[in-house]
Amino acid sequence: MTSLLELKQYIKKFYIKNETYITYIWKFLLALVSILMINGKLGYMNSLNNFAIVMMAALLCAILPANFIVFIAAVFILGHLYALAPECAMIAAIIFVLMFLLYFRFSPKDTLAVLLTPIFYFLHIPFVMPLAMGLLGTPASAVSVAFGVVISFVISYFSSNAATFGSDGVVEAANEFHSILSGLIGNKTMIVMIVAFAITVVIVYMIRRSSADNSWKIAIACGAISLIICILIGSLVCDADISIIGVIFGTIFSALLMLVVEFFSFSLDYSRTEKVQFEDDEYYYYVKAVPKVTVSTPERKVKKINRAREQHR
Amino acid sequence: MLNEEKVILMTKMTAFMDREGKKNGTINSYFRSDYIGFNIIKSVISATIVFAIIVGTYVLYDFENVISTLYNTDNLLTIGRRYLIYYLLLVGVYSLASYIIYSYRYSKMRKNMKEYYGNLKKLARMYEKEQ
Repeated sequence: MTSLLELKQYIKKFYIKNETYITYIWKFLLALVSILMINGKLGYMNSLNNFAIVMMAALLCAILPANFIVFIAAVFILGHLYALAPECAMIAAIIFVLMFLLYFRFSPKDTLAVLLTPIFYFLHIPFVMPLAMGLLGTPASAVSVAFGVVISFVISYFSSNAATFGSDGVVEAANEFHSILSGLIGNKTMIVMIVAFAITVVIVYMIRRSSADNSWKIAIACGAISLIICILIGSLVCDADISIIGVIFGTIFSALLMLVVEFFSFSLDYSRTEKVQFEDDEYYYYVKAVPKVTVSTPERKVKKINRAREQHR
Repeated sequence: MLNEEKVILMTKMTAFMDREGKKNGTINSYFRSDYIGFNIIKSVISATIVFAIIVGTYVLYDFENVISTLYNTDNLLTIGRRYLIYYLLLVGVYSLASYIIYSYRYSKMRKNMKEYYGNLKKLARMYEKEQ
């Protein structure tokens, strides 16, 4: 355990020291992964599949604010869907616009959850998201996770039903619009997932904030259990098509992953390195203020064993 | 001579201003009522757009049904009234939510700014002492 804690401190120090570069790198990787995933699922527009364009977009995301990744991903999704059929792109555009107008005007910090949910969904462990957002976010993150779930289902719908689209004529397009929307709204799996995830986010958040010892671990466990129960009940009530074994194993795996997150969750309470410049009457100041890393190693208990006295007897 | 305490204080203040200053400065330039009112107007506008999009999608979705009900003019008034109620409900809920969120943000900003001004006074006293 001590070596693990040392490792944690080492990583923390390394992160604080090289924060600028690490931020660029993770933004680049996240953008690359999400764009490649979109291309893999929906690659209908050839020009967007071009590797140079993908790299350029990812590099652009690395230097621009994190929310820009979401924007780029949305553009890629819309581009591919437009190449498939304009009405598909229209539906996706409607969803994106509603999302922006209803929610992200208020909490622009949460947008990454919308991006990460589909990524984890296509890795078959979407259960990570409600647990993680309950631990790291606020109850309002339930909304972002819900939007993420909607987007993942939209992508998988278009990816699996691609052959049926591509119409000519207005009437057919209108019919397709109808069938796509009813296919999406009528998807019970999606609704069950959204509800279960929302409940889980709130439960995990509430327990995590409580002052009990090990509240994070309890929160993860309760979240995992509530996730499994909610999905079970939901799939029974709504006859949704969800593989229960997948849910159970996925949830257990996600819970284990969350233990790792808990171990490394120093991003919450740490203050970042500040580089500032100012002046007064006499000097110019170029100050780099690096936060102190406090080591919280567990208390060592020293047990004294008096062998000496026994030998004298 | 460098005054270490002063440098620390100034660094903290500049860091705060770099991080939050721009945002807080914009909020601070409004009165509370103006700030919240302005944002509620924005919310009403976006709620209107959302409503228009949802209705438009619904019309596209159920085109035949909508057209046939529109020809039946008796229904027109009741449908219109129902949609008006939906619209008002959406706008009301949305405005209420934005009222709560933006009042919270405003009071948080005031608190931060008060601390900043407190630090500013402290700094001024340090200068006086030096002289």
